[in-house]
Amino acid sequence: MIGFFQQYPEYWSDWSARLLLGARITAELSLIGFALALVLGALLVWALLSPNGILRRLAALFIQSMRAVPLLALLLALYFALPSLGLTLSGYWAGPSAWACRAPRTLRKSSVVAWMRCIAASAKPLSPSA
Amino acid sequence: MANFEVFLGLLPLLLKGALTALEIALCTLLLASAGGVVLAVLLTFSRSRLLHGVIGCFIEWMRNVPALAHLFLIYFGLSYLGINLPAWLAAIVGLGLVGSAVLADIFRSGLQSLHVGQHEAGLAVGLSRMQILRCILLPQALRVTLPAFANYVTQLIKDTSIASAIAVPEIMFLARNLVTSTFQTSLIYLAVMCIYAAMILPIGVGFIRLERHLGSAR
Repeated sequence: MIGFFQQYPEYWSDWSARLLLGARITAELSLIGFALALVLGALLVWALLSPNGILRRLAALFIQSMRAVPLLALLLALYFALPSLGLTLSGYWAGPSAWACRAPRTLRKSSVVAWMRCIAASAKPLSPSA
Repeated sequence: MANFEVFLGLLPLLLKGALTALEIALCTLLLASAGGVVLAVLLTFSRSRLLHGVIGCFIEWMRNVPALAHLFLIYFGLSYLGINLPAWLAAIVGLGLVGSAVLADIFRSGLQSLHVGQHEAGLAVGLSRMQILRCILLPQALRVTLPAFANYVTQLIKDTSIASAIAVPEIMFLARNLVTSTFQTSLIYLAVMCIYAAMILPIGVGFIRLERHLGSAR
């Protein structure tokens, strides 16, 4: 057991640069994915609150299907299957895109909804009883 | 049309993978539920600070490290110590440990949401602590936590896909093998997504009906 951990000093100088690079890329991908998710999430919230029934149903369908599919399957589909449709995403961009597609499920329930509802409410005229 | 015939030929293999994924999810759910209940009960009723600290560390560690890293550590790391687990067992243990940490938090919140008077009333009528827990507290806590539990179950079925990284022959692993042999990338991954949706959507609907039936839907 101790021998297992004693390997760290021996190899750390070789590993550390590569692991830190990986950690940096992870952080970058998380930030990009979060930014994309915010934009896509706001659009979906707008669609969910829209008076257009078709738009509402399409947004709900998108959200339900994204909830039911594993992130790994979505990621592989974006990376490998999209090129056959003539759209190529690099490995770097497939990750955040997949995350962004799934995140609106969370955003739908978050403060973004409250924020959008406030905007929608403020745009409506007050009813006489209010 | 030829593509569709290829797809029909591949479907039985993908469904076999889906069955393996469901078996792994079920075993993991049993392990995670048992672990989660034990940890939640200990967190709620134990007065030992040491125990709280140890369980707290376990939960934080499990929740903050990706499940994939746990699977690799259990599958490859334990073999260094002479413990060689088969891939499916490593997946169940890894996902089960992560799940027990998640469910411990869920069940703990359910137990703590119950009024302390129920425990005292149980003691007053002469029930043992175990009887109070089994007959009074846990059934109510499980009802309160049903929506969060349902979320965990659907997430777990999706998370079985990461077991493909340690060569468990579940649906994603078989799909990747099929892609390398047939090059029908779009067709196979689309089928995989549809199979996952077909597995998860009925479970989600079932949980919603159960919530309504138990009156815990808000």
